[in-house]
Amino acid sequence: MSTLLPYLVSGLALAGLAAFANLMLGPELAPSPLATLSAFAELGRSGELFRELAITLGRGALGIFLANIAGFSLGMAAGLIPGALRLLSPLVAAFQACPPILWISLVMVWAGTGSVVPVAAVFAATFPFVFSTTAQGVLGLDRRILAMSRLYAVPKSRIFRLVVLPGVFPYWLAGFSTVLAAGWKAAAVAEFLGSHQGIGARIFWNYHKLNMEQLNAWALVLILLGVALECGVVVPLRRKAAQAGLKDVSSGA
Amino acid sequence: MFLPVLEISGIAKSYAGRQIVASASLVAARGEVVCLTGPSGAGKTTMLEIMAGVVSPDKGTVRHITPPALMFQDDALIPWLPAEANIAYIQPPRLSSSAVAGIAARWLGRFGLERHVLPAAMSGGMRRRLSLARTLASGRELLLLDEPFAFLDDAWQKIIAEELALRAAAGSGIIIATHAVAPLCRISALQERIRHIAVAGAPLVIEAT
Repeated sequence: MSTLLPYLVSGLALAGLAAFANLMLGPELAPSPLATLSAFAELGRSGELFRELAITLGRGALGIFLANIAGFSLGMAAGLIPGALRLLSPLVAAFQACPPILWISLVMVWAGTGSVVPVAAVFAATFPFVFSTTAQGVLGLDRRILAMSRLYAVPKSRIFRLVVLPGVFPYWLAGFSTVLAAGWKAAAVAEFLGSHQGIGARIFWNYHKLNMEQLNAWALVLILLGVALECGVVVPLRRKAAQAGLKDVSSGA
Repeated sequence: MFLPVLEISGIAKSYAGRQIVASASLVAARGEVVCLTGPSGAGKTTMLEIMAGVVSPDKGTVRHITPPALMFQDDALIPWLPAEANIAYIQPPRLSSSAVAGIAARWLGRFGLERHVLPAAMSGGMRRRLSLARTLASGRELLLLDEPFAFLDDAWQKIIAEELALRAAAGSGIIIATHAVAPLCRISALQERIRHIAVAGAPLVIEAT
């Protein structure tokens, strides 16, 4: 019960805000919590909820997967090549500072609308972080252990498998948790602007038609998805990274 | 017969403008135990690391007649690998897994260590023993040991001094940086093998060719 209480209180506060908005603006602009829940239930009954959810999550997962493949490989290389990260750090900082809207605009110009836009937006929003945390992980490796490995002529494949990969893992894990939290939000924004499918696109169309009950229902889907990812995946991953001997490197991101 | 195992000549080393080693020349022989003693910060650890080849000197030459093994001052154990895997890690790839397991079991047993225990779950003395076990398990004949008796009680100091006496008798050259030569002096078999080099303080000077 004590675990569920914060969720209950937060849910009631959210419903209270919606009820207040309903009172102040009227049902045309701010539907009641009950009307929103009813629209939400209808989305579930019709199957539309799960269809659009799967599209958004699939796009987010693909973008995050590609960002991890590229970010991990290049971050590893940048960490292993002396001086490379120092030379690239302004570029990485510049990429991290770019808002997703910039990438979304560019990809829409280059590739039109569709799945490419959200996948590319997620990739662009998450790649720099995976890259820099992985490279930092390599730089954080115990130099004495690497010196010891060279002294005994330990094969490079064994050094990579038993020292580099496990040493970088907590850094990557902490970075991955942040990437998960950020990735699906970038996917939803990209769908809003540059796609016909997915939760973001549904929000755009309902906004366009001023169908506020549906708009609120999709907003509720986004909120629930965010809370589920945060509590079910992101927080446990950060806990695991901390247990693996690393302070939360993602907290400042 | 004096059979050299390591020759260093005219070594000098500075860190951040501070001279740690001013001039070091030494020839160490098989069967010999060279003890470098001196106060903390005298440059003994830097000297051993230069002898091992893990630190490059600013000046001078290091010649290994046989490959060295180094017991690091801070152990340099791999924290996520259990004791057995820490020893197996440095074994040559040509050895079969059963041969590696046999080597690890022998040294873990000799130094009273359990195979599945992680370094983080060990006391300072156990980590020291594991670090020494890994160094000796390398099978190399030039042993460079940085404070091998630190954190060990009298009983373990004696066992380790006896082990070093066996290695010296078998023809290994041993160079030890230590505050404590007493554990070695107590082993009668080592009496004639010990060469004591006392260093005054930084920057380190050794002339022992």
